[in-house]
Amino acid sequence: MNNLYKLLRSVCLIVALFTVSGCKKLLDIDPPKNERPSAVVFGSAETAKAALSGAYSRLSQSQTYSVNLTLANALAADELRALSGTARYAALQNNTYEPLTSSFTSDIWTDSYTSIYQFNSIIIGLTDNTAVNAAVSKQIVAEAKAMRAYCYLQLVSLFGDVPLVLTTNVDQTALSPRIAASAVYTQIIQDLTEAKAGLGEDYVSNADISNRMQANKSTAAALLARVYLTTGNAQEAITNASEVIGKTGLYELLPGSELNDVFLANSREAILQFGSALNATAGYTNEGQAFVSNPFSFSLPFTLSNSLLAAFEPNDLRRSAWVRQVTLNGVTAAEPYKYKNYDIESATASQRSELPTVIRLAEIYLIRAEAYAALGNRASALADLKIIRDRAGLADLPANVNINDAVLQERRVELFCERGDRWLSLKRTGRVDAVLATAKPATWQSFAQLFPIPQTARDTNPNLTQNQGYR
Amino acid sequence: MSTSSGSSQYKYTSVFARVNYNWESKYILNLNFRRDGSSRFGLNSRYGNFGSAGAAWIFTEEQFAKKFSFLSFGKLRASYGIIGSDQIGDYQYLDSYSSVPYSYNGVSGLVPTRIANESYRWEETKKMDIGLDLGFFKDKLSLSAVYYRNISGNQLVAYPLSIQAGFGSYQANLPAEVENKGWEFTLSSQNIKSSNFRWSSDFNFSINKNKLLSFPNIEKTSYYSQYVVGRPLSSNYVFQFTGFDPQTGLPTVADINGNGSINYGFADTGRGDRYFAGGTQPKFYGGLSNTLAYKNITLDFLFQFVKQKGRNILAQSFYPPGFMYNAAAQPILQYVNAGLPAQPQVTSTYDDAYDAYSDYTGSDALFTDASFIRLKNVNLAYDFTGNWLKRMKLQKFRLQLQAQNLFTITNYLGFDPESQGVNLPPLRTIVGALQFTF
Repeated sequence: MNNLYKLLRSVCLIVALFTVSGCKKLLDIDPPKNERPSAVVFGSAETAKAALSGAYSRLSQSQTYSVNLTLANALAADELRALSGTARYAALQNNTYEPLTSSFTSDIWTDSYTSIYQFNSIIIGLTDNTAVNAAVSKQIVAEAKAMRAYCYLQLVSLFGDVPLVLTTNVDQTALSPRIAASAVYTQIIQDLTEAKAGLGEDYVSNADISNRMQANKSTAAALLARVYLTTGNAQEAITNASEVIGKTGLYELLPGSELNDVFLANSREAILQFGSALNATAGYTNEGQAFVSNPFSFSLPFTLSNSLLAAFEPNDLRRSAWVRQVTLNGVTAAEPYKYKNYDIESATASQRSELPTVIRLAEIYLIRAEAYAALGNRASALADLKIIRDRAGLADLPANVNINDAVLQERRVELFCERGDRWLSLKRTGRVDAVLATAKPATWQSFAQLFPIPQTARDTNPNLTQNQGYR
Repeated sequence: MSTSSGSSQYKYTSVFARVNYNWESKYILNLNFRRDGSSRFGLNSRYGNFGSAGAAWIFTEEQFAKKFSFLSFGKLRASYGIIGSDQIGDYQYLDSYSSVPYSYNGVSGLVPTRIANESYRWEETKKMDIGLDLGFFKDKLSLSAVYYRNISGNQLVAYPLSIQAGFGSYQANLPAEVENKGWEFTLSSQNIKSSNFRWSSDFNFSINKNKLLSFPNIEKTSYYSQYVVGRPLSSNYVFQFTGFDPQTGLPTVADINGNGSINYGFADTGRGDRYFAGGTQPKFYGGLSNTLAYKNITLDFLFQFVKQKGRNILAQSFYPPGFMYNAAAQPILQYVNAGLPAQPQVTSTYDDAYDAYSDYTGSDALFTDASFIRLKNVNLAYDFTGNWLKRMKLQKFRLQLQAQNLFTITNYLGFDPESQGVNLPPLRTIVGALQFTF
């Protein structure tokens, strides 16, 4: 009995020791070799830059931002038609997308919020952070804000009211409801204004190759011009557009004889370009891959709509440079041909490296023209249109032209198949119902001008409402 | 080309104490306590305390039981315990960035690895069971019956997040209690045992039930569209099929929540029109196996039986008739033939017809009895004997024929009632074998 007592006592002692000390060291482990704690990442300028680079690379390589924005918006508007019977293309061009099944529209949502998380994480990681050189930190935060604003601009333009997530704290983000589009625009303007103040004039270039792959001051100004035009602040749109147009040392419209060079890497017309599909030197874009048929194609994927082709005036240089007529197996298509390389081999063969162009100077002239027209300044609007039309080899517009129609028409033929410009322009100018009811009389329904909130997003957040018209 | 590399560490430590007490082989008591630590949890929640207590009474050792000579063994047992689990990935608490194999503008990138959670802790399951083991006629017949009830709390889950949070899920505890309870019976019998002929049978029968006992504030979580308190975690929620519309010829379903349209949410929560139509677990299941041996011939066979409801193969066919996709003919024809005798031509837009079909495939119209009885295993063996074996230096020479899934009795419309839907059914295999043992 005495022995049993002793045994029990020592067992209790061991248990008590173990319980009290917790033996913390027993369970100490190293972080995985391919991971770095966030505190370490935002502990040096070098790793903070790597976090920004990771955010750009995920954004630019996402399906949405590398090709689907262009594809989905062009199909939803009246620019593009799919030649295959694929159901998801049919749903887009008939505007019958649905919350549960439309992968294109739900990918836009998913890819945008995934990237927004990264930009939020960077902004928060560098806030009140003295470990990173102040100038570097300011530049990175400004870029992150510009790109966060760019993502929100897509979301709010395509879905209307959306959740405004500005933090990474899951307790605050996971269940936040949609807020009014106007409040989202306010945040976008604030982000872009702060970005513009913090960004340098020149582009950041790390690899000794000059490029336009990271946002600079003009990128923020160009996006601001776009947002102000959308929110009806024509004066600010003009101010910001003029700021970009005035940077003649950085930007110029390429002459009409060089239209084929507009989408090349480091084009002087580009205000922001993304890295290429695989890396900076791949030389082709996912858009080129999606639109341009190659010698091995079995069938033609897409064609520009007849109404868009008819919108080109005779002898428009853009028609011959940016549209390609192809016939395969008796099917004829007019392919979008702004990007011409469809894979690495074709890029190598052409010796012309292309990059996805996010914003370019021609749009800024057209933004300013539209804003001048909104303020009743016909002469200035016509002057800006003339710059774009001269480059395309077109004659001046008659003095009595309907200026609003003329701006929309010029945007249509200048910016077709560029990240949804037509779709957004139709919605911005309030013409979407009139135009698409004519273009698609059997299927157009007005509520379809806002995409459905993805069912998966709503299933996991009971506070998310659906856009009117969808089930 | 891309390359990636990684590493991970996992450490587990535990201390435990056990007391076993056995008094005259009549009363048995055992107590366990353990403290476990796992590196899979955040710094402040690495340790958990668990334990169990069990007691048994072998009442056939008591004087009063000796009177019942047919009863050769009798044991009543009960136990209660709390066990913990750390069955999750490593480092889920670590707020970190990972390298990606791409570089952007000359800098290789880092991206957030996960949404870190410092606070999740050990999953706990409270297990309770009561059992009775009986042996009759010198244990020629034995019976055991067990009732169990397990309640899991703080289940470790990949907690779903709306993607606006940046990731689709993160590691967390499910703030809910889930109950699993049921009965399990087994009966073994040696029917005949003579020098030339042996025959024994085993029978087992199980009834299991699963239920979400509680989930505070579920309506404010991402599980609101997934679980309903009081229902099994895995349930059939379906539309109520109400026949074909005489005008359009399209199938219709009931607007249960009465909001004027058909919505995908649960009728239980008022957010949609899909009602609870039972859990997906079988009502009951079991098996009967027999072993017969006559001289050198041995025959084993096992029948499996399951009582359950299921949905026919159309539930996994997303394209209505007319699309250029393969589909199983029988259920599609059943759908087409179920329509009105003079089927009107569907002239509605793509939208309506497509929706109606997808509502139909998500409705109780596809419910069918998926119960089955299956001859799961047959094994026939013959052992050769004789002096010639010795001459060939053989210890044993056996001829064997094995078969699996030989036949199934079912009314299920589809490939197979066990796998259901468009899944690979259990294969029928027949194997002949010669077995030499030297």
